[in-house]
This record gives sequence, structure tokens and C-alpha cells, in this order.
Amino acid sequence: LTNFGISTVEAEDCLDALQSFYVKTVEAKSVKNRLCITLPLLNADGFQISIGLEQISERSAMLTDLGETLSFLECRGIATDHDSVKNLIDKQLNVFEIACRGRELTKLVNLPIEGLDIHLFGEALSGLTHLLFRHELIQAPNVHVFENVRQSLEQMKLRYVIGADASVKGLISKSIQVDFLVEAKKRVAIKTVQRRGRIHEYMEQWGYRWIDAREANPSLVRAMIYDPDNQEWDENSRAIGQRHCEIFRPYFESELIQADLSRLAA
Amino acid sequence: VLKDLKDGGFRGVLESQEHVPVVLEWVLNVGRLNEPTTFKSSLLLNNLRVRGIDYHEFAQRRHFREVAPAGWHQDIVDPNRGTERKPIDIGRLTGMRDFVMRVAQEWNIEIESEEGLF
Repeated sequence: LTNFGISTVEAEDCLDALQSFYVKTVEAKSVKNRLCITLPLLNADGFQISIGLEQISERSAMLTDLGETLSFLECRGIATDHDSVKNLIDKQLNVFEIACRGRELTKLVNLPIEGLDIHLFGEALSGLTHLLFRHELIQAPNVHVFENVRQSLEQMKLRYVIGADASVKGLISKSIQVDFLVEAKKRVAIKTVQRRGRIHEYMEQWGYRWIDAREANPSLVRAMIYDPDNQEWDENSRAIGQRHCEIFRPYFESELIQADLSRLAA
Repeated sequence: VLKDLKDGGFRGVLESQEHVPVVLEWVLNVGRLNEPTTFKSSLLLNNLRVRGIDYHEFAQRRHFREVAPAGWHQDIVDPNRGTERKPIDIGRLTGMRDFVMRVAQEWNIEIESEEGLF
């Protein structure tokens, strides 16, 4: 504080403050055959990064993250083996000359150890954890649409199959996969629209599939159940559904779906 | 699960017994097979991490302020309140089987296990 009570910043004060922070932040201890070290660096969640250092010969040692970094990403839903993410990881590893053994990231360093080597290794790990923000979350599918249809079929006591067995042949396509195949007086193929967002291209594809399926199975009842609240339905997309499906309804119209099924299939 | 863990990681979809319309995934990771303290697990709800269990050699500092002592921790993630990292007693682990069973018990995951499979 000056004589006038005003706080001033001097270079030395700044340096002292930072150095005191580093001294407080950096810790090292021996655990089994390695040294564990905390660094003045944070991962993408804001937690301090720590690493291991294992001596492997008189003149060399290995820095290791013990699998912490890739696990950090995978435990947050990132597929690190996915091409786009893997390329980013590999690029970072190459820049910092870090090796990847399974999930563990390691770097060989010369002894006596240099602070720079340790810090750069930590920087690389910190940078990798921030790939978290390059990751696009997979939008949750509208599983409730599927579940609602399943409940309707159960209530009506209709026999149906799901999974790989729920497919119909087309005239051109060998197999058109649907979500439910109901074995009643007439076969009913039901597709639940589980994707979110824009739907137009999806409906164009399904328009073709439904025509193909009908040409191979003239008595097939085609049904599509959707969720208008979580999907972007335009006029054309609706028109495709209405034109090519005998049952085309939002999932919450359970009673009407059941009535359609009774009328057309049972 | 064991085979995948030996390769470093497992990620599988869980079936909800209440037929809740969400995608629940269980992630397990292994840093070093012979060091149980490098095992990690998390639970993803529609691809968002909501629970995590792992081990840390040092007291845990968030933004360089201590929030939990060293040892095993459980992260409880609430999108509205952020991540809470709490110590958890998971007993003495002898290997992967122990870890998988202990985490499953903690998160009410019912798994079919056969002796010798792990």
C-alpha cells in the first residue's frame, strides 16, 4: 500500500506471489516403485493433474499418466478409438513425443530429470483432457416412442418380434429392418421414428423402403409412429408418411394406434 | 466384461428394470492390469457422465482448492450443481473382479457373474 492507501503491483511482488503458489501446489511423494507428482495444471474438469515417474535405468526414467487421461475422456462418453478423436489424440501425442501403451501415456526422459520435461508432459495431458469440448454429444434417441408402441402391443396381446427378426423383404432390398413385426391376420411392420431434429431425408429413405416392402408383400400393413415434439416435421415429410403408411401417428395417440391395429391387422 | 477390460476398457448399455426411456451406459477402464488403483468406472445417462469412481494418490484439488482427501472417490454429477467428489470406502481390491462387483453394488447394477469368468 502507498502512503495514500492505494495498492500497487510490482514485478517482484507478482513473481513472489506466483512462486509461492507453485511451491504450495507442486507436491511429490514416493509410492511403491514410483514418484507421484502433482503439477500446477488442471484437467478439463478443473482438477489438478498428477503424474508418475518411474526410474528404469541409471540414466533414464519414464513419465506416466497411468491411464488417467484416456480414461478421463472415455469415462465422459468419448470414443477415443473413433477416427476423428483418435487423429486429434495422435497429433497431440506426436507433438509432445508421448507413447501410448494400451490406455497409458508415457514418455522416456533422461536423468537427471529436467523440470521442463515434467511440465511439458503435464501440459500435453491437460490439453488432451480438453478434447472433451470438441466432442459432440450423441443426441438421445426417442426411446419412449419405441416403449409406447411396445406397451400398446402388449396390451392388445398381439404376437410380435423385435430386433434382427423384425425385418421384411423388399422387391429390391433383401431385408428392410423395422422395429416391430406383428404376426396377426395381416403382418404389420412398425417403424418408430427415434431420431431427433430434421427428418426430411430420413422420410425420403423410408418412403422408398415402404414402397419396396409393399411391392414384395402386397398385404403388408405399414406403420410409422413418431414424436412431433422432438422432431422437425415439415409438410413434405408428413405427406410421405401419410401417403405410404396405413398407420402414421404420433406416439401419444395410443388409443388410436390400437384402434388402427385392430381394424387393419387383428 | 473381463475380456474387454484386459484390452483396456469396457462400455456397455444397461437395461433399465423400470423401462425408463433413457440410455444408461456403464464404462470401465484399466490403466494397468496389476494395479487396482488405476481402475476407473463411470455411469453415463444419455451420454452424460452422472457417476464416476476412481482413485487418486493425492488430496483432490479443484481449481487448486482441496475438495476431497486422497484415496478412492466417487463423483456425483448433477447438471445443475456441478460435480461433487466424495471419498468412498470400497474396501481392499484384489483385482478386476472385485472392482467390477463393488462398483455394480454401489450403483445397483445387477450383473450375472460366473465364478472363474473373471
